[in-house]
Amino acid sequence: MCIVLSVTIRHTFLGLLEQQPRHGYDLKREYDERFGSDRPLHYGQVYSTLSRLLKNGLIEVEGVEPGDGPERKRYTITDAGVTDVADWLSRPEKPEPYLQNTLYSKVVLALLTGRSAADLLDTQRSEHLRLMRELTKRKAAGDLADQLICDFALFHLEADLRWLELTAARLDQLTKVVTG
Amino acid sequence: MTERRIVTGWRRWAIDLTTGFRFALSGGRSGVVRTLLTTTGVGLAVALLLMAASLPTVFQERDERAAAMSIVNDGMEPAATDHTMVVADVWTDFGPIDIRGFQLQPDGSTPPVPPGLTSVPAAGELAVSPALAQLLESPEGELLLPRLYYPVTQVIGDEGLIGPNYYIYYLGADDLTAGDGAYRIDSIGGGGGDVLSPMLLLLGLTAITILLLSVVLFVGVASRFGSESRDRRLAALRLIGADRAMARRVAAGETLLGSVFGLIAGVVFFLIGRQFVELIELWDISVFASDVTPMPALVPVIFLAVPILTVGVTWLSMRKLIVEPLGVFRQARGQDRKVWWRIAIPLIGLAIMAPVALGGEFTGTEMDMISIPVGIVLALVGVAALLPWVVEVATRRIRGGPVPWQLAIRRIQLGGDGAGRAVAGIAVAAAGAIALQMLFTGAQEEMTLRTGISDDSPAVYISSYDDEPDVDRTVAELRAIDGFTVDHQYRSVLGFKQIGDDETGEFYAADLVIGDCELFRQLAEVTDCGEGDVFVAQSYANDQLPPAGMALEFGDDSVEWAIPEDMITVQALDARITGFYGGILATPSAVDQAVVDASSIQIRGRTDASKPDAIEHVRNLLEPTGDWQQVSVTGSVLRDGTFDGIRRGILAGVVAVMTLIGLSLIVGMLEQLQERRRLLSILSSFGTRRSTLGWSILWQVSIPVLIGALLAVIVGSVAGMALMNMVSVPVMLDWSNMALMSGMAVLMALVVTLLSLPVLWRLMRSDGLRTE
Amino acid sequence: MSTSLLTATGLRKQFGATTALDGADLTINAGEVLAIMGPSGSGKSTLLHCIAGIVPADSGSVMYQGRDLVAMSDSQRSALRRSDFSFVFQFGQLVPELTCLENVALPLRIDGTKRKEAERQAREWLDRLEVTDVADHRPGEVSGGQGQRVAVARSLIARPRILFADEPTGALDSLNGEAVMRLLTEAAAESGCAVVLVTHEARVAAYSHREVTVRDGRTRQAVGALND
Repeated sequence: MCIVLSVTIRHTFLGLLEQQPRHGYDLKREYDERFGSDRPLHYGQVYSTLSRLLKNGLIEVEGVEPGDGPERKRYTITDAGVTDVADWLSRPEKPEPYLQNTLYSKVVLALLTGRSAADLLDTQRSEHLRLMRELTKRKAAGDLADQLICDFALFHLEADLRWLELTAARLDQLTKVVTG
Repeated sequence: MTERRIVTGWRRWAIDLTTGFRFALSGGRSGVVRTLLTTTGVGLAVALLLMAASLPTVFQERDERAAAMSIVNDGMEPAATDHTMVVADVWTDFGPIDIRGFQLQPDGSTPPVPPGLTSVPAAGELAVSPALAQLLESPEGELLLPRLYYPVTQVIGDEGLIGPNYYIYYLGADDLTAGDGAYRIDSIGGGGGDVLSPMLLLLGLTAITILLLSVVLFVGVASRFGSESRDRRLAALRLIGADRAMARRVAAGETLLGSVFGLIAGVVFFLIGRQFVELIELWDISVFASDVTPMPALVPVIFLAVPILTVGVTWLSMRKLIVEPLGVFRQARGQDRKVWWRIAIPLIGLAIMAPVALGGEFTGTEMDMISIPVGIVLALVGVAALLPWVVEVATRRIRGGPVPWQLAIRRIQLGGDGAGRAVAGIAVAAAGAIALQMLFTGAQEEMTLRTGISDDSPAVYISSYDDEPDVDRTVAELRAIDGFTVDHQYRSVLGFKQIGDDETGEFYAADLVIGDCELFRQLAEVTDCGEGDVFVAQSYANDQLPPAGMALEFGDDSVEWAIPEDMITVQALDARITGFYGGILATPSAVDQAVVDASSIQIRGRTDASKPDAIEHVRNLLEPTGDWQQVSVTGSVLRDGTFDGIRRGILAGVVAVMTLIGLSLIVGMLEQLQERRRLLSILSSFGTRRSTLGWSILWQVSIPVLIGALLAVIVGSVAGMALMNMVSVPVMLDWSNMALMSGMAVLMALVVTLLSLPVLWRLMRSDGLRTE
Repeated sequence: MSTSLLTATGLRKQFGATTALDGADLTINAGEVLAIMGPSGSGKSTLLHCIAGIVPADSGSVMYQGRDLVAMSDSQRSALRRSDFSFVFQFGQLVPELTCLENVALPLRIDGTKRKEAERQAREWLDRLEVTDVADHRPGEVSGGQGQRVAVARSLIARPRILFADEPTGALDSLNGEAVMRLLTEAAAESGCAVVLVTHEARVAAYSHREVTVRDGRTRQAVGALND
């Protein structure tokens, strides 16, 4: 669970930084506003994520404000970081339950970084469908228990797809809201 | 929150009905057409009903006038006073026309005046009926003038005529003697009336019944128009909150308006049609327009019954509909078609007619006048009810066959719709027409008139009065007439004897014919004949000849002559010489001169068919002299125009009905094709050829039509036979007519198919597959 | 490397002022099941109609066996439809007055096959689609799922190369829909018939090998779409 979150946090920070260079507290505030909802980030998480990103060369420090503390540093994204974000956005997620947070993040970030959210959604849909095909094949060959399990997954995948379609249909609206 | 007052009771009814009225008038083009058609249909029905209600009046009025003008010799011989008159019957024939005539010679200054006259015409003056006046003035009437060359001083008014086309004249005379071919009367009227053949009454009733049924069918079929938009309106009503009962009332209101308008239209149609009645002349019967007045008691009945019936039918038909806010659904047909009532209806109809039909006695009583139309209606309605069942049974077993056939049979099996109803309508119209034609054919047989014009040579019979005319000169003049041949001439006299009184006594009579052997050989099977021989020939009616030796009284003067003992019995070749009682053939020397003097002269001749005027010349030669009785003619008769006219009329009626119903068939077929347009596209998408579907439409239309035609022929013939039997007319089947009706039905099926084909082909195009 | 059966390129179609297709492309390979997906109003039905030759496109080409459907006359396209293509719709495609057996036999009978032989083959197909019992019933008397299976049987009996199905399970519940899709794809595979499936339901599209998305009159192939 934490790992999932941190992956998302990592990429979210990268995306936010791709949009513009920011301070640490700035990043936390943005994250909380857009994605945190009822669970604000700990400062500890923020710093550990930032240091890992620094270590991997995906971000660098641009400048330092007068004062103490890591939150005073201003960070900016490197080319490697941009590539990482691009890869992440264009790569579909493995379809599985509770994907919506990740997908939502991806859509918003795509919009923030000026990329095509529609393509992202389409790619994800294809991936979902691919998995649904496999499940359908397995269903045809399996026994009743297999069928029940497969149907369960299929229905959830379908629900995801519905959301994806609905989101795709709302993109224009969403763009206005996200980019202000 | 405003409170809505719930309106109940009769105000609710009034509102709903009024809504229905508005719908009837504002339902768009199809709604207006529907209301118009209903109005027309109901109007026609009302007009027909009013005509039917007028039939008794027609008969009664004619009867009364005929009675009022009857001049009869009742044998009373009143004494001559100021109020008496001597009259003589002087009717004559002119071609096919019966002309009644009377010579009037008043005894005093206040004689009885025949109705229609202001006064008895003076001697040598004529009072004629308008029709006769017209005839005398026309070129065709020239041959009549020699008999009626007197000046016309009066034209008889309507109250003195039985019908507008009645031919009658009154001639003032001054040379009549009561007892010598004339008789004295002291009053006119009070005698027998105009007894029209019950046949005619039956004819009238049947024709009107069948017409009425056709109109009802038409209304039923017409109500299909615009039914979709009406259903939509009703569904919309339900959507805004009307309940089922309210929807029914609105539908009833729609029909009510149409039927009320129909009542008004019906009265108008009736009044117009009435005027045309005077133009119709069936055989020799014509009717005054003023006679055509409905019986007062029946008029309110009709005015109430028609709207109630039409609304009632709507009410009943609404029971099978489920009007829901989302649409109108027809209740699915119950799978079990109860067969028994379908067969029962026509059987009941025939059973009602059976007592009269089998008994051969349609007497025109009230019971008959109701039971016969009812029986006919049930029989014909039975045809309509039987048709779907027969179609179903006939097609039940069929499975295979080529594709068009299969499609058509299956479609028919799936159940009829408007098409079934429409075909039933055709079957009823055809059956009615067949029955009516058969009845008319029979009527024609019975109503044949003496015309003197025929396709072979009719026989002409001339008799003299007792006075001795110059026979030889007359015969010579007769022979001089171009187209007339004299066959025989002889003398005859009737002799009779009554022994005892009227009640218990015996009565003997015989016709005595005096002529030569030459004559007898022609009139009877006489081989050996010599002067002085007497033969006797029995009549078919009476086998009791007077015994030999009995003295009969002959002629007006009752000259006695005894029947000789040695009469030779022979067979008569000509029934006329035996008369009713039997005939005695005597050579002149076998009878006394007194008997010869008492006898009258008989001349037999023949006219040539190619010279129709010949008989008029004969009449003109003989009748004005006063010595000869009216010339009588027998022989076969050419069809006169009446029969053909009626035949054509019935045909026209059937064609009209079939066209109407054919139209509705077409509309139904086109609707069906539109409904199935998607299916048609799909069918064509996997290869169904246009011709395949075209043929299937043909079968689909033809099979019910053919079955309907068959049923129509059967039921129509049975009904026709029953009707003919009712009035004792020899029953014969009218094959040509049946073939004609069937042919028309088939033609109609073909036309409907052909007209549907273009629409079918248009719908089979590929872009019907698009579902938007 | 499998054979491309039908290739549509750059299809454009306008209905009055509305542009239904704005440069759509599509390839159908032999024996595959292709799903065409997209929101309503996207033009997917129009795309289907164009590639099936029901409606001629305004411009572009649809190559089938070396011939361009767009350039053909209506009768030529109809002939092609009769011989090589068949259709299954959401509803309303069976002749209501014929029995199911007779419905399935109809395409053969129209081509001249004798009734006995046609009905024998029809029975086989009804068996294959697992609706043997409804043979003597009328379409109005059977359930939606059974009716659709009968429609599938009828569409496959004449051995078409491509079966076009427009929302075939649209009017059915989940279980019936699944059954129909399973049997349809199995039967088509047995006959070597390609299937083009227009649907907006993902679980139905899951029976396909690949999908094409239509949006605003344009097509989008699935990422990484490979020939099977």
